[in-house]
Parts: sequence; C-alpha cells; structure tokens
Amino acid sequence: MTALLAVGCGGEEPPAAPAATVAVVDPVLAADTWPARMAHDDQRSRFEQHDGWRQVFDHELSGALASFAAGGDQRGLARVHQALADLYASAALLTANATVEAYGTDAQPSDPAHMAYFVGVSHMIRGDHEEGKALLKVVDGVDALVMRAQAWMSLTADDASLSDLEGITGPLGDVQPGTEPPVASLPHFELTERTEKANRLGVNDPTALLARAAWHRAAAAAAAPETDQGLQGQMARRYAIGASAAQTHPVLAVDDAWLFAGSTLSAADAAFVAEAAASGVESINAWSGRSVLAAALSSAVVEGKLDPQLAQDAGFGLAKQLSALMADVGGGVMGFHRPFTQRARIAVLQAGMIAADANDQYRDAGILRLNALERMESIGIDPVFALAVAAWDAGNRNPLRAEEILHQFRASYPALSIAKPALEALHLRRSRNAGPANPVH
Amino acid sequence: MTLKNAIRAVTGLALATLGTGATLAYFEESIPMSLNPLYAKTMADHRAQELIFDRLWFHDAVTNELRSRLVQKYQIAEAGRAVEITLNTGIRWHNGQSLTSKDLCFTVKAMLDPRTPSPVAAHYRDFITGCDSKGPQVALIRFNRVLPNPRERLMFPVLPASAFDSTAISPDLQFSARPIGTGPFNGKRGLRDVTLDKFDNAHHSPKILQMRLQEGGDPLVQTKTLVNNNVQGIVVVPPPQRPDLSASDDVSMKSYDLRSWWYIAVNPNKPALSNQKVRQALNMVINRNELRQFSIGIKPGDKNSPCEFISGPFISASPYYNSEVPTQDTSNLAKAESILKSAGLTKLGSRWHVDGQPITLRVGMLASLDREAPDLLSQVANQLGAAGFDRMTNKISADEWDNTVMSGTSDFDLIIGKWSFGLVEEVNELFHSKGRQNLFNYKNEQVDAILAEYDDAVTDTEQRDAYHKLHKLLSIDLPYLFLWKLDTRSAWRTEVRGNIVAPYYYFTEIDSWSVGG
Repeated sequence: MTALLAVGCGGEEPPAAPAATVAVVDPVLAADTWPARMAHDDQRSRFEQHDGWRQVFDHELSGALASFAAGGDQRGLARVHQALADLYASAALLTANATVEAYGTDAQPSDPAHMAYFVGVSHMIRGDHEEGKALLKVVDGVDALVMRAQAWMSLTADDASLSDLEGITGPLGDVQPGTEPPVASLPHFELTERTEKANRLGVNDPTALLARAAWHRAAAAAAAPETDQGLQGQMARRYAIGASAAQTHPVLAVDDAWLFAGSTLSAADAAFVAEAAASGVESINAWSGRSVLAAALSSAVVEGKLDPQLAQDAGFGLAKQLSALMADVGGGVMGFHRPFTQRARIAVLQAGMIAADANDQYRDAGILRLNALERMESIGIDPVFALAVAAWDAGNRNPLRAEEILHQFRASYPALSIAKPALEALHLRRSRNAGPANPVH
Repeated sequence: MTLKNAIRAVTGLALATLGTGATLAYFEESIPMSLNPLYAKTMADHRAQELIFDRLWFHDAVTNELRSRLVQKYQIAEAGRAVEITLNTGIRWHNGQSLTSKDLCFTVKAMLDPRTPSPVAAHYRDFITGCDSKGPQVALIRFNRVLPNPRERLMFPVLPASAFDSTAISPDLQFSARPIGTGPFNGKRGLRDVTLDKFDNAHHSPKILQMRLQEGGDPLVQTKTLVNNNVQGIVVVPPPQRPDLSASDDVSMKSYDLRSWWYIAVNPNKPALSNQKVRQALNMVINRNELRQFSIGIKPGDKNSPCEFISGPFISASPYYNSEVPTQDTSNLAKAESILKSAGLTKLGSRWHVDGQPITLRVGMLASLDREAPDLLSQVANQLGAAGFDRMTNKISADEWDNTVMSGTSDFDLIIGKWSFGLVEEVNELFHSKGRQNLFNYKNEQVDAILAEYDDAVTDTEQRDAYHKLHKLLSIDLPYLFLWKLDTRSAWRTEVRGNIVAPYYYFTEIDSWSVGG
C-alpha cells in the first residue's frame, strides 16, 4: 500500500459497499471527475510516487513546497505556489476586513493618529476605492506611511503587480519557485495611542500579504509550463479578492496536477467556477451540460435562486454516485474512496457558495461556506479555504472563528501573523461593547 | 448495566417520544438546572432557554448580523443615554397573552431589582438605570452613560410580567421548571427530560412539532442510540466518538463555536494548599499529556487536535492569552519533590506530610464532565497518588455543584471543571476576591489590582494588557491548575435538515430546522 492510500484510509473502517445509487449527474460527467478517474490504479500512481502529493492531499503546503522543490513535478510545484498565493490573498482580505471594522466602524478617539493609512489601504483591498482614496489622501506625519499612501493612490488590489506591491512594502527577493520569501519582523509599525498612558500599538500593513500573494503567483507562473498560463488565471478566480467582471471562460486542457485532491473536479469545472464567481446562478444553467459541479447544483436552483439545503443534498448525492462508480472501477470499496468522494461533496458546497455569493444570496452562501468547512473536519481542513472563511467572518465582524483558524495555521505559515493584531482589535472592541456574560459550566 | 441493555433502555425511552417525523429527541450534557434565563448557570441552561425565549436582539448565526424578532424599530434617545424600542405587534406569550412594552420594562425592572439575586442581572445594573413604557408597544430603556451601540448590549431574554407577582424574581419559583416565553417552543422540565412543544407565533413558525431533551449517559450508548436513529442529535460529542460518527453517512458532525477551557481549581484555604509552592508543585505533578491521552484519546503530536494545553484562563487563540507563559505539558516529579520539601512538607515513606499529618487530597469533578473526558477524575487521582499524595475522589452531582461548589462552600481540595465563554471572555468573577464565581474564595491583592486595572482600562489594548498580566500572575500563584481548551462538536442525523448551529446559544435558528425523511 502506498503512502497516499495509507493516508486516504485515515484509519477509518472501510465504508460499506454503496447501495443502489441514483445518478445525480450524467454518468459521463461523473466519470470525468478526478475522484472517478483516480479510482484506476494507473491514473493514481503518479500521485502516489511523490511525497509532495501526499502533502498536498494532507493540505501541508509548506511541506509540499519543500518536496516539490527537490524536483520531480513542476506542475505540483506550481500548484502549491498557487495555493500559497490564494492563502495570503485571503489573509490580506482578513486583515483588511478586521482593520476596517475595528479602526473604521468602531474607531475610538484614543486610536493612534495615523490609522488612516491602514484603514485606507484596507478599503482599497476590499474594493472600496473611493473610501480608500479619501483616507489615503489625508495620511500625513509619518514619511513611510505617506509614501505608502501615495503609492496606493494609483493602484487597485486587483491589478497591483508584484513590483508595485514590493515598491510599497519592500523587496521580497527574486522569484524562485520552490522557495518562500522571508517573513519581515513584526509589527510593521508601532503607533502611539492618544491616551495619557500613550501605549504603543503594533499595526501591520496588509499590503505585505498582498505582495506575498503576488510573489507566489509569480512563482506558480514560473514553475508551470507556459501552456498552463491561461488555466492558472482561470483557477485563480476561485479565491480572487474583489469583484469579478462577468466573462465567458473556455474549457482548457488541464493536467491532473491542477485537479487532484482539490475542489475543481474536472476541466469544465475550472471554467464554470470562474464564470460563477461573476455570473452566479446563470452560470449553473449555462454549464450544467459540461461541468459536473454545475450539473450537480442544477437540481438546487429554484426560481433563480440556489437553495442551500438542496445544494447540500446535491453534494451528498454526487458523493454517493462517485462512490458507486469508484467501487465499480476498483472491484469493491477501498479505504481511499471515501476521502476522495468527500472532497467531491465539499466541492459542490464550495461551488454553490461561489454561485450564491454572486447571486446576491449572501446568507445562503454563508450556510454553504460553513457547511463546507464543517465537512472538512473529517478529512482535513484546507488552509486556503479556511483563511477565506476567516476573511468572510472578519467582514461580518465575527472574530471568534477567524481567530481559531488563524491560530491553527499560524505555526505552519508564519506570515499569517500579520493578520493577528487587526483581528485581535476587532475582538477586543466587540467584546467591550457587548452585553454582559458570565462564565458558565 | 451492559452496553446492550443500556442501549435498549435509552432506545425505549426515545421511541416513546417519537410519534411523528417532526419530533426530535436529542442528548444534552445535562438536564438544565433552570429554564429561567436570569439563572442560567450551565450551557445546557442557555441552550434550552434559547428555544423558549426570545432575546431582545441577537446575532444571526451565519452572517453575524444584529437582528431582532421582537423589535419593529428603535431609535437612540436622550443624546445616546436611552433607546426607544417599538415592539412588534401580534406576538403572544405561551400563556396566550400579548407581548407589550410592559413585559420589556418588567424584565428590565426585575434585573434592576436588588432582590433578584441573579448574577446575570447584576451586570445589567452596571449600565441600565430604568425602563418606561411609553405606549402598548413602545418602551424607553435608560442608561447611566452614552452607549456607542446599545443594541449590542441588550441581548437579554424578555420575561412575561403576567407570570410574576413582583420584580423580585427568585431562582426557586415554578417558572424555572415551567417557564412562559415568546420563543418557538413551550418547555417543561421534568426530572429526567425537558419536553418542548412547538408554539406557532407571529414571529416563529418552527417546523418541528416537539423536541425532547434528554441527559446523555455513556458516550458510547449515546453514539449507538444516534446511529440507530433512536435520538436525532447529540449536542456534545466527546473526541473519541467523533471519528466513527464522521465516517457515517447517516450523521453530520456540526461545529459549535464555544470557548471552553478545563481546570483543576485548588482550595487555598486548606493548610497545605495555602502555600503557593505546594500549588506550583502540584502543577508539576500533573502530566497533561497523559491525562489528555488516556481521558480524551489525543496523543502528543496528533494533527488538528481538538484539545490544546493552556497556561492561563483563556484559550490560546484569544487575544487575552499571554503566549509568553509556557504550558506545563508533562510532569516533573523531581522538581515537584524539591519544591514540596522547600515548602516545608516532609515525605515519610512514600507519602507527603504537613505538620506531621499525611496529606489527603479530596478531589471532585462535576459528574457530567466524565462523559466528555472519561476517567479524568481517576487519572488525576492516580497521578497525585503516584506523586505521594493520598486522595479521595467524588463525582459531584449538578445539585451539589450548584449548592456548594458554586456558592464557595465546598470542602474539596481540588475541583475539576470547565468554563465556557462566548465573545466576552471576562474572568473577573472567577478570580476577584469578591467574585461571584470564585469557587474557593481565592484572594490575592495583586490579582484584585489587575482586575481593577482591567475594569478601569480606557482602551481595549489596556484591557488586553491587564489580562496578559493576570495570566502571568495566575500561572505563578495557581489558584487553578490550567489544563486545556477542548473544542465542542455536535452530531445530528442527516434527516435533520437546515440545522444551523448558532455560536454559544446553539438553537437561535431553530425555525429553519426540520426533520425530513
């Protein structure tokens, strides 16, 4: 038994053989998903022969980076850099959301004089350019902050290049796939509270996380074959921060390295998800004949809205269908089948979440988001998705889950510590204004 | 009772309640001690009360948006020192009467009444000064200062004026067992369960006809009962049971955002334990790695552990946690022995003595915690025994806990417990010499001074810094031996649909829950 399969078993009892299963999607689409194809030993063997893939499967991105850096799979290396780019972009959004809520919405007269820069940049990252620029214009007094504010005036988070961002926060070093930029000492700035005690307050610039994301994106592009560039852009839409413009996406040739163990189950799913991020439920209808995720979700669309409960049923149904399909291929149920099909189930929830968000169904998208996170607990939490949930929570002024997520992953990804002070400030401020509560047993 | 018989017993009990598909039975940590929101002492109390009452405002369990089912509109009044609230019309109490502003003002006045000995109400007295009814549905709540966002502070459940003779509300009224609320369920507490019947209202239309809360017993029995569909949910699933339930297609594990940490409280009024050095030695006697492994099933180095050691009274993810204070993961018996000797204790044979008398430690643990951390009590006792202390162990019933431990009158030397928190993680009541939840009347002037610093802090960073200092001081003085934080997870049958679990309060979104085929 290979390392990957051993991990796939996860110590669980092999599940019982699936009963007769109703197909929720066209069997041809189901057969084209990576879980179904990886039921074949020969297709799976590529991913069982490299430690990096086991680490990708276990969501250990730092370990996977080191493994792929040693050689053997350039696309694997590119995949990990892309994941790290998404991770740090979400962390930037987390920091921005927490900063705006803590020091913008809940601003206090005692806040340091120069918080305008941090709130302004945070607005820019959130895509609130007018509010951001209005604040950046008034930044003065600290030369380093004035220079940063001026640089941001001509940027948006969407189109800022690595060199733009490095121009603000300092160079991260040459982009060398297989490496990581060093983490600067924290906090980035120490400002003085306007109180008698004049306490020093550590504040970090979320631009540093955006720069780190851009660096990893550049490393992903450098590691992958040139033919994958279009696909990388398409895959990046899943965690892109800021509003997406509606755009049609073609189905591109996809190497399994971009799919294995992930939430994009097939080549068409990559295009569907990229479109759904802007077009919402419309894209489900448009892609239900080609994308397995869209096909599964099509049964959850009721009168132009995505029903979150039906989307969960669709995820469950697809997992059962794939389970039956994999059992057919393998001649029985194997230990790795369930972890694979659970990923497909989560993929449906995540795609539904993306479509619902773009369909102005904020709460329904939230239900699917939280369900996806819950489902991950049994098979391992994807740090990239978890950080995106944390960013969403901070935008909702809910610091608790975000704090736990950040705490869980900070040791593995030390640069995430940049997000900590703003999130702490949000918690402290909300707590101070909350109603009374006693400890209970 | 064998496992098989235990399952049969529970199954019989549960089947008796399952009349229709819209009935839902579930296991709780314990039977609620009180269904009166003024006297919520356990998380089981809070969760059950959420089904019976409406809080004036609450946070959406998904988006965290501030919402109210009772309030039609509100406006800030008197330059920020009051809020005028207009209640929705058509809302009925479970006794059929209409909700009016008199009920809201009665609730406020009951909380302000010093004859209402509610620890929850006491905190509201810090900032609410009164409430006037301005019309059938309009009330004005006054504050002693300008509050930046008063809605965030007004999250108390509203009580019916018609159910009480006076604003002096005591915990022993019949209301605590047979409450009247405006919530989605009409609840009655029995000796062994709580029955909750659907109550349609202008602002609630629950899809579940009846809910039945039962006290969970042996975790393995709970799990089997759930898998066999004889109950539909378990609110608190201990870590050892989680993998099996996660692997089942018939059950969904649900996250429950609750900040809980476990401790061993030390009685400083006992001759030996009054010495700080002895408490420090005990801290080194405790091998948390082994306790966690043998009780909760988590080995050192396990990935994504739901259980993480702590060195102070906060979970590690909290901004109040002082990460510079290290945790004590394993025992150090040699160092403990050296400290005990320096504290004047003598070891005769293999047993520790003080003033010529052998030390016997009486160790207690809230009985219901034994399900979440099985055998923890005996494991702690074993470690103390191996270090040279005689010991006696007791599992403490909920009543004894409430009557003696919580009132600070228990005679235990050590008590194992857990505290749970939501957004507010204040621990002043636990450690202040006059704290209402100070289990052994612990007194330390430096601690009191730091807590005063926390209360007087002008900024949130000053508050955080005060708690960092508190954490450090408590890790030295050790009124508690801090153990770990333990995540809480629930399990519900997949037939239970739309089951969004709200942070802390759990059942806030119960109207969306249904029991499908």
